[in-house]
Amino acid sequence: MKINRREFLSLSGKSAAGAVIFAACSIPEKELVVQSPVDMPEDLVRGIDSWYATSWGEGASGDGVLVRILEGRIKKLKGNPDHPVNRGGARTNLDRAIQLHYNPDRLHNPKLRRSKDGILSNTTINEMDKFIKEATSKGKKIVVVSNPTRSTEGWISQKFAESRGGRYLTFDTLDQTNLHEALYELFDTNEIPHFDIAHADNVLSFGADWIENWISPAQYGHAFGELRSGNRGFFAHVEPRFSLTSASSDLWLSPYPGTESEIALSIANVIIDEKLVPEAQINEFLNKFPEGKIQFGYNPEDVEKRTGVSQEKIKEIAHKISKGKSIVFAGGSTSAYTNGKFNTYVIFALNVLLGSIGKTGGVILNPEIDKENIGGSTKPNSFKDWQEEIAQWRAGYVDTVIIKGVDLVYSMPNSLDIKGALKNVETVISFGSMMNETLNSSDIVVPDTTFFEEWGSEIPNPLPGYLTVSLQQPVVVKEGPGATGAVSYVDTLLNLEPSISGSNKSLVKKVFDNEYKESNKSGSVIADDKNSFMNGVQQRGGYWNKSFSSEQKKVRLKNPYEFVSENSFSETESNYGEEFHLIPFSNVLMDGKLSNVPLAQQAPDGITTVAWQTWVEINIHQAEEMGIKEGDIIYLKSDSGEIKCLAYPHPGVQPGTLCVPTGQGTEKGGRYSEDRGSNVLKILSGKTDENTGAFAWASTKVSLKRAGGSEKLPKFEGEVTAFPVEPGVPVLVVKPGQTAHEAEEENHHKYQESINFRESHGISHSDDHADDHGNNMKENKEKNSH
Amino acid sequence: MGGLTTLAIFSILLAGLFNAWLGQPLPVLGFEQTVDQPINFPHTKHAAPVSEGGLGMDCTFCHRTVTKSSSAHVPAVELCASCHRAVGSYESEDLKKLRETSGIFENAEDKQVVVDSERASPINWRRVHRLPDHVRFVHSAHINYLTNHPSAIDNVPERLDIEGEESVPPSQVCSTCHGDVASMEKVYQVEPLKMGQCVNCHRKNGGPTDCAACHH
Repeated sequence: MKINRREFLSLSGKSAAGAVIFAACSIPEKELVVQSPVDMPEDLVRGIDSWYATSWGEGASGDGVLVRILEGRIKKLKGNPDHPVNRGGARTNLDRAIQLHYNPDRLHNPKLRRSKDGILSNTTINEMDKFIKEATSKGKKIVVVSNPTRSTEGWISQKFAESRGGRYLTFDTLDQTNLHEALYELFDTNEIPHFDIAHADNVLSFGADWIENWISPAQYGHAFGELRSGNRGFFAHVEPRFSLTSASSDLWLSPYPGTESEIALSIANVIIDEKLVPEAQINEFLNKFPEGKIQFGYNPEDVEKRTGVSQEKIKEIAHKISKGKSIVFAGGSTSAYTNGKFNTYVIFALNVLLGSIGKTGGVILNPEIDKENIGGSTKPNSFKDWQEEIAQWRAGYVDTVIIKGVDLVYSMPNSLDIKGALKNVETVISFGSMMNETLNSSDIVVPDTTFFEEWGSEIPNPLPGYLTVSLQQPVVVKEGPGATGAVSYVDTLLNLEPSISGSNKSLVKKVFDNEYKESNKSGSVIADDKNSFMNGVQQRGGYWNKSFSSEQKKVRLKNPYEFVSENSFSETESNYGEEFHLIPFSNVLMDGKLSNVPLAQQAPDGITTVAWQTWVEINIHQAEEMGIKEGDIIYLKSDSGEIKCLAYPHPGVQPGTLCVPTGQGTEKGGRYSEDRGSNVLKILSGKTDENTGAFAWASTKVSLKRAGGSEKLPKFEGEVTAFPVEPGVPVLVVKPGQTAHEAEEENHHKYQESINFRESHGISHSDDHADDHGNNMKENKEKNSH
Repeated sequence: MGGLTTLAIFSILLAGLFNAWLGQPLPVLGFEQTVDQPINFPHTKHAAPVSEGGLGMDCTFCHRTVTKSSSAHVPAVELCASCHRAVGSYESEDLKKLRETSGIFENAEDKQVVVDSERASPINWRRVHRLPDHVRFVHSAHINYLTNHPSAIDNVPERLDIEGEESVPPSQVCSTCHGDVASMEKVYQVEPLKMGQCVNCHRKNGGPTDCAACHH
């Protein structure tokens, strides 16, 4: 057979193509491998699940979490019923954290910016290590930054910064310095006390949205359930915004922003004037006030004019909380005005008047915990600390900044120009499992592990009244680049600094080995040796011991007027001016941590039911006067910038106040978060409480401008037509100007009429619905009617 | 020339298709052909009865999920090491490999045994039995049926007498598909494990024969 050159080449080409097809169709090599894992493959048994007890340290509340693993994959998260902090309760966003781990935008490669003006591009682990080593060598001026935490991770961060003669700072987006400062003045401790809501008869809270997201919502949510399950208790809440906590209260007071302390002092005034509590408590409370009395002008009549809260309601609360076990606390926006510390201090001092300190159903002091291998911060750095720190960065005095667990660029207001400051730092190293604005402004981006992949130990803040150390353990293998998995932040620091001996796992184990030594065979785990003790800790998700509680010492009351700062809102009395008070609030997206999690994005807000957008809550009457309708595009402008939102007129907002959620408006994130909504944190003005340096994040004034257009607001509310839950019982329709009780009576009357009509015409009630609900329903109804 | 090209391409595609779809050694080449494993594991030593020089270990001691899961699973290195840290010669090359894989090392100088779990690594065995991806075979269902219906068991080794038994232990039913593994120095495939065999057995024993029973 003669083959010419052309035919030979053609045949060769076809054979090569055939070989490629053959190879492509063959069984992949990995299919022919069956692996014996190192440890017992409990997670890999098909159809059989394993549950692991761990904790989610992101929120600092140290909640106990149970994770369901099936075939090595995370399937579900729920609260650990054994854990003393949340007792089986879970934050509304807990389940959504699964998508922090399994996310299409998860970083799989380290990134490197080779020059300050260059772009971030993928690099290898080896090259990343080389650059990190150079940037963190001895002699470099280093700053380590993390989210607020008291953990082994925090301790390692602190030790690493110290080893380089650097600083370690923590950043809390919605700064709570005033809360910590006020509590320190009163209780002489940095530990946030335990609020024994579960055993109280009366609860009075100010500003803190503790049922949805304040400090330790799972803990407080569980306690609230306990409060309501007994004699139901009495719960009053004071906040300009109608939050989920306001909605859960028996009496909601909506004061002008910044005037909360006046309400507290007025309540105290009523209690003292009418001698509603024993005289000894009154004397103790007034002891440090100038001339032993509350200043003139705090009677309910005067306070009504200044706060917008009716004097009857102030008196009602004073009478209610004077009887039984009462607890009063403040936080959130109440602590975030320019007079935040004064507000907070005065409100907490009410507990002295009510005799609630150190008692069941009152404010119980938590023990101060100082443990080896656990560090970080009980009290995050104040905004003032941060202003000073960023000035150092901007001046080029810092060589390397290492950032973990916090998106500084997203969270800081425009006025701080954090982006500009980071440009003047020689090397910025950021750790994260997904891109965010800070990672995008860094020079080295490290693909970080999630809390499902890492060992850790954490002391919850606040504690449940006694010693608790939560355990975090890896529940799945590391995702990430190649076989190496994601890069662990703590292991990276440990590799860089040999003087901190041990691996992350061994350091965590050491924490619990120490607990074993100190436990004296008491507490949540009792074991004969430290390995058995650690096994117990892993099974229960931590160690806690009721016998390690705090002495309930006397408070050190001071003259509260020492802490008075000017309330920047006080001059706007009419509340109908051109300027509005802006109060940001966080919901399921937190401070943007969960903004690239679709499960969190689609979760309807607790009050407005809006999702996927940034809306502005405006008083419904004020909106009507201004001709603003739902979905109208609104621009809010402050001295720090401008954002776009969609209007949501709502009756539960104090006139003159606008409320905007945090979490949206990420410039650089993932596919679910980028270019969606607006970032309200950017337009907060940099005001502080001069007394403490705390960020007065609820003290920004904005002007409102209508853009002229309108968009449909994505919300769940009103999308489903109301239908009768019980067949034959009409839906309760409350007409304008009608109370719910009146509507109920009217409807009941109609219902009764319909029953009478049926009986008089011999129509069986169940016959009408037999087609819809089947015979079982019919039988049930007949039984019920008997 | 064109016919030759077509034939070549057709043959390559056909071979590729066979390779991918069947995913097994073809019966025409004989089943006894097998593969070398990273560590020689003699089933004869572990699973054969004591009377035949083995240890008489039950199959489920190592393949411990076979009665409760779709997959039989190969044991974890930890399980092998639980015995072989002490049992077996320290001179054996295969046991040395196994011990090192499980993080157990012997100091050359003082012969002291050191355990370093950080250095343990998985073992990648070569698969002997493989069903195509579009087949879902659940071990547990088959084991549970056969243990209660011993008359349906095939390839019963001569040493076992299960005649008239109402039920047998799980380890005595494996031979139906895998043959007498306890007598194999190196495991090899005994049965074709093709759809025809599955359907025949299902028909004989009243098992489901609808497509979705296995292809879902």
